[in-house]
Amino acid sequence: MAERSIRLELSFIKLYPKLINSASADLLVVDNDKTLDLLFILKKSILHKFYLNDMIATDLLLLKNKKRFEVRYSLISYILNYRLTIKTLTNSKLNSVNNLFKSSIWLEREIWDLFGVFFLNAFDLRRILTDYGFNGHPFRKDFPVTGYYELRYSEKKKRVISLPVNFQQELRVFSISSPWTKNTQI
Amino acid sequence: MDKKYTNITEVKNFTMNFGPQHPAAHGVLRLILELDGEVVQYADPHIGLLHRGTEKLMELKTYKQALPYMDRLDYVSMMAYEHTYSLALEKLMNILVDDYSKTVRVLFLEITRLLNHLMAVTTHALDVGALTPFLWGFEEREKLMEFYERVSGARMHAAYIKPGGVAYDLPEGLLNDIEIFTENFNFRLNEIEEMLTNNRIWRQRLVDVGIVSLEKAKDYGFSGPMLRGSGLAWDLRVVQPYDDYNDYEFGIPIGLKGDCFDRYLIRVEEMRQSLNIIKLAVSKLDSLDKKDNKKLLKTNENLRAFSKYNMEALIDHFKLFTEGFVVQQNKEHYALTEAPKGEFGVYLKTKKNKPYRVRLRAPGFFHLAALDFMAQGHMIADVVTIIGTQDIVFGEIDR
Repeated sequence: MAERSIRLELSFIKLYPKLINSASADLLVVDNDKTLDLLFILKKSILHKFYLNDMIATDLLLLKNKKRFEVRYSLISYILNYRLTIKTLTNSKLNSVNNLFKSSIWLEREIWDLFGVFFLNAFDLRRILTDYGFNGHPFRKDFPVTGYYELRYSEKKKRVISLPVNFQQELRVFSISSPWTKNTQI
Repeated sequence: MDKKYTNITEVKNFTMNFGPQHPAAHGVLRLILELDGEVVQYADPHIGLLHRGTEKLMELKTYKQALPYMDRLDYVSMMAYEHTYSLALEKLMNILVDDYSKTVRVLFLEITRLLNHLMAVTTHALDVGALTPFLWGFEEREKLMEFYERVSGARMHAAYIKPGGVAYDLPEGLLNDIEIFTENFNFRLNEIEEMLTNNRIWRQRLVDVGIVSLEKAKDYGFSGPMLRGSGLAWDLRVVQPYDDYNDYEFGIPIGLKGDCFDRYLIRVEEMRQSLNIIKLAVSKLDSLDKKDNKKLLKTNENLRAFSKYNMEALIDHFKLFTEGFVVQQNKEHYALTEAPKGEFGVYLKTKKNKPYRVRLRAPGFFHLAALDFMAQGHMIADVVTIIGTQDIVFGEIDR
């Protein structure tokens, strides 16, 4: 495994010496205007032939990061039996990789739907998991878990209607901090 | 009157709604099909009707409380998903699992694979028109779920595989019954195969339907039997082994053509191999000395027994179950395992006693994204076959 990653890294450095800011065995942090180039090489090079296996977005709001979102491209090379993650940070938009990987079409739809990260030149950016006519991006950290609207069937109108949420009791989140907390660290 | 009719032009394509309540949609899939006669031109799956926001909900729960959500993702292969989550957490907490628990895990993971593939193959047959294998298969599933119940108390949502091992020890006599089951199940499998494999109708409906080339399969992010069906010997249990899968020898069945029939054969073959692994795991468990291997891990319920006698243990137990445990902040891990449906991944980013972000990679999500190209040019009845072969369960796709 280690040998493979070294081989991989060497081939990167040969190909694109200035592309990578920080390199570790399986995580590369790349500026978002360079991701497309890097992914292009990774896919086309017959040495590794990477395919997009997953895209992971994270809202970094609570971590007080300079950039709001982190998007990871989890790539897999079936030739090397090796996984590589490419991480990029953004505030609002990224370049779409739909032209390179077909699997990214739905993944980008999902990230757009749940996080509101826009993908330039994406094939299809309709909402995917949320309801028709949904507003907002629910997986952002500033979106409440309870949401803003609730649905119910109206006997009068004979259809499902949406109303602002109304709770008898607020959603309680317990964040207990106790003198023992440090001790329970494993 | 005449003028009214002159405006009529010939319309070739029409759009049809398939689902969300269609029984062949395997749950809540709404499919917009554009048809030219009976031939599918374009298929647009609308998903999310079962979206519960599992990943977001898990951010509010402690690591322990978040585990049972995994059962509810893919509700036909429950333990496989718990297992991936447990692996991710174990990696973050540097927990080493003892051999005994590992073997118990493998045993139940393979039982889970049987559960899933029985469901996949027989409901696929049901959609295509063969009712009998479905009835036989579900009787076997009932027996397997009984094993679930005996070990965890729940038929489906077991919450049995936990970070650090498994929740409870195996009850007396279970291994014996599993052994009896494995001996009989082979015959059930033969019976199901007798009904299907050389059945003319079954072959007419499956052979050459939904062909996926290897390049396309990789490009669309396929995994599991869908990828193997296209001819790549890729099984995470073999190529990137976890737990003690290293100790079991089994082959990876691959398809030659990449059509629905290949994938059916692969699923049946995988069931046979799972059966073998179950047998090996049972004999391995018999030989393992329990006392040497059972460690009382702090995250496990074993603490409960001590709390009856010891005040400190009671406090410890109480705090573990209310606050949960704290994992080092901002660590992240992406664990992938070979779930019965394909590669299931859990990405965990930690924050004190709750996850900061969880991402669940559902294999079905990727397969369903490819439904459009797989169904193009096929008859509308073949769409049902393709949905069946993709082994779609909406609990995991919609999350």
